[in-house]
Amino acid sequence: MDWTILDGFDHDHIIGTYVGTLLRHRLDQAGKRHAYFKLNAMELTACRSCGACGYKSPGKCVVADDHHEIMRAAAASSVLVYLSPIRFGGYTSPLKMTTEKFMNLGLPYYMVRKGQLLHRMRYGEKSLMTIGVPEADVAGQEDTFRLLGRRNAKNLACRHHLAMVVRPSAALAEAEAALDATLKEALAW
Amino acid sequence: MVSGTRFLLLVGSPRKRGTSCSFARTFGTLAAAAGCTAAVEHVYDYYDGRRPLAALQERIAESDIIGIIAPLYYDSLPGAVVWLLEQLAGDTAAVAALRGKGLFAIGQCAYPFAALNEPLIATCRCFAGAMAMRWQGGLGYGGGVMIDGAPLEALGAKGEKIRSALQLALADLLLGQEISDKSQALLTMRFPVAVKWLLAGLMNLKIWWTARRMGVPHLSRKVYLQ
Repeated sequence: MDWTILDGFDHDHIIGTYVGTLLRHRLDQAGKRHAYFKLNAMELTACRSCGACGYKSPGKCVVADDHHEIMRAAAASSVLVYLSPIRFGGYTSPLKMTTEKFMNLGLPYYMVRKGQLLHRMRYGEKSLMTIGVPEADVAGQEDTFRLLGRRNAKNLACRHHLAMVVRPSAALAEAEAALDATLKEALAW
Repeated sequence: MVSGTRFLLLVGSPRKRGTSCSFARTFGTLAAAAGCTAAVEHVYDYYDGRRPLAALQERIAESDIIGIIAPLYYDSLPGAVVWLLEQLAGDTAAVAALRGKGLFAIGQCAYPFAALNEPLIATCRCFAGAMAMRWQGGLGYGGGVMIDGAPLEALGAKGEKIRSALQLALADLLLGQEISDKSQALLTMRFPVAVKWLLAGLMNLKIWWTARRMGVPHLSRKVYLQ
């Protein structure tokens, strides 16, 4: 698998659905294999901080929900895409809960890279693309979304990261142009 | 200071005896000493359905300032806390109850780097903006794993420093101000990169030793590719 797309949008979100569909279409055109997950249709649960993924079942959460399917795809991918409404500057709760399980993409062991204390990666280096559509007019939410993406990328020791924000009022052609510009860079990763 | 101020502390950790609770407990003690009250509600009680959301709405209606105290999960608020905020934002009565109230946040993470909590605090600030609440600032603490739920009062100089930061923050909150940088300065430790290397080495050794002691042979197994 080349790409794993996590879609946090509802089915009736016009811009979100359009961007998600277009993204998959563009990846098909570029010959990139991809796995796509509509998170709102899946059973995903919050991390309990139980620590079982540390030593009891190393690298695997012991909770039996749908995130294991996502983990299998993500482990085999070189690019992860978080597609989400920008909710309070961050992701929707199903996407947030899923990304928390991504800690298992890392090893318990630590390293220092570019002055940062990070976990070593279990499945090799990946890249991250975060795509958000603001839900409401809240000051600072786009900056927070971009900051969160940068931190997520650092946390997963990603090789590359790109953040893209599409205005909810954007025309579909505008959203398409923005996605194409971002993808042009990402497809070269 | 305004005595009689009613705080509601939303603790976002699944562990009811964890470090976030240590912070909430001490904040509550300080608030009581200032003639205020601090009710504590655990987010996971709502997420797990042990308590109805209506009970939280009552708590919100009875409070003046709300504090979110949570561990850092993958760079921001735990998903269960985001879920709760979504529930509140989707409920007309809750939105009305939140409007105009103060909101502050305390984030704590395992790594000893307080700045890692910035996205968590910024997310709470965005929630305040979306709910027309008064944003009163946030504090980040790094090194929560070393506290591990112990009472801050029992931690000697380190606990006293955190307590002082919370005391300063409480004073700002009661004056209706944003938490000042002085509080954060008390919680922020600066390390040269060499210390990070040392820390990484020591932690790796501890992990290796723990795995060996527990008889876990393959910590690095690629479980999802097998």
